[in-house]
Amino acid sequence: MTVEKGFRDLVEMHRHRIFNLCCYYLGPSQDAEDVAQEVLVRLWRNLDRVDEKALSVWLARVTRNLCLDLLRKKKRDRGIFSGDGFEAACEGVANGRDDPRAALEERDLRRQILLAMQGMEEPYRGILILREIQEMSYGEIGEALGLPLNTVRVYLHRARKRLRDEIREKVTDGEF
Amino acid sequence: MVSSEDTTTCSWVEDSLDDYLGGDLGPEEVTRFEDHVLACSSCEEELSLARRVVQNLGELPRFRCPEGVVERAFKQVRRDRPEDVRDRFAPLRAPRFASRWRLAAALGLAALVAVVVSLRESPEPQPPRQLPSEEEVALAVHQVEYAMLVLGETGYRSAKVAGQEAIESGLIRPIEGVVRTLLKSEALRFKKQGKNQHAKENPKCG
Repeated sequence: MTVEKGFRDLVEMHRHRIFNLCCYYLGPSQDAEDVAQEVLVRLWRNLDRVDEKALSVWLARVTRNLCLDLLRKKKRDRGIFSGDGFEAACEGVANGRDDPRAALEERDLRRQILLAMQGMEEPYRGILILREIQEMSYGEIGEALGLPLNTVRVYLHRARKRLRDEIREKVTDGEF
Repeated sequence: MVSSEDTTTCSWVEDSLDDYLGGDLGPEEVTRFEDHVLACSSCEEELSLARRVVQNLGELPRFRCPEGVVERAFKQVRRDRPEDVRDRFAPLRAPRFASRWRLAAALGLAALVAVVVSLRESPEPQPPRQLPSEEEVALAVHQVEYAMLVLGETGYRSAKVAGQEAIESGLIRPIEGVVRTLLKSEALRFKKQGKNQHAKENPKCG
């Protein structure tokens, strides 16, 4: 296996997850592409230091840190869960439903979920994204964020509850 | 809301929602949860909302990385100096021993087969044959020891794989049981003894 071929295989294995995480922090944007690219470059430069078994965790940690750094640099505390790319992606999922009205309702609900996630501060937002979107285990999340397992459980519980609270308010307001 | 004696359960139900949906409640807790939800409209609504949120979280879009990102990353890393590139994959490759121990294991086990088979008494009269010399036996034993040593070094899992491969290839079928026992017991023992000591004592071996 040549070095470049090996690296290409690794990139192929992980690039979508890296980019997806970037998008949930920064929105599907040029920023997300730039950060994903930087993560791949850092992966290359740290290959000899990263344990293969812990690679997913390492990538999640580096990606999240770079996203948060960029948000700080741009003096934003949240990404942009809007824009054509994101709307189109939500629409695509919604079109899979048989009942158009129900599909629209669920699409609106997804938009509210994203807005609620966007409004959360760290580490709640990060834990929610890593668990619900990246489908990482509690243990992996704990390693990526440097938190004990039990703390991850407690924070995730709080984050989900806050998510429901926000959505419930919208439901009560009759938005959907 | 349910009757006054059951009001404390609403907060318990809310606290247990994630566990219920995740299938992490015990049977008794599930019954308690469901009994309460059946009797409590606000908790029923909360459960319904939680279900919708969980379902929609799972249906949120997953973004795919554009090819351009990868190509730009590659352009960037190609500018790295060659000496920085040299051994980047060392930790991610199979251990350096991989091919060496396979060869050693195969040689050692083949030698073991030869020794055992040649020393076994045959039930049928056989034409006279030449027994291996003392030197050959000693060399075979060293090879087996070396194979075990390396197998021990690469761990029980590798030993199991090597054993399985050897068995599948028919190499040690006649003494499968013996080799299985050796693989299990000797691999661990030789791991402790250390390769260097063995090499020092048997410079010709391996």
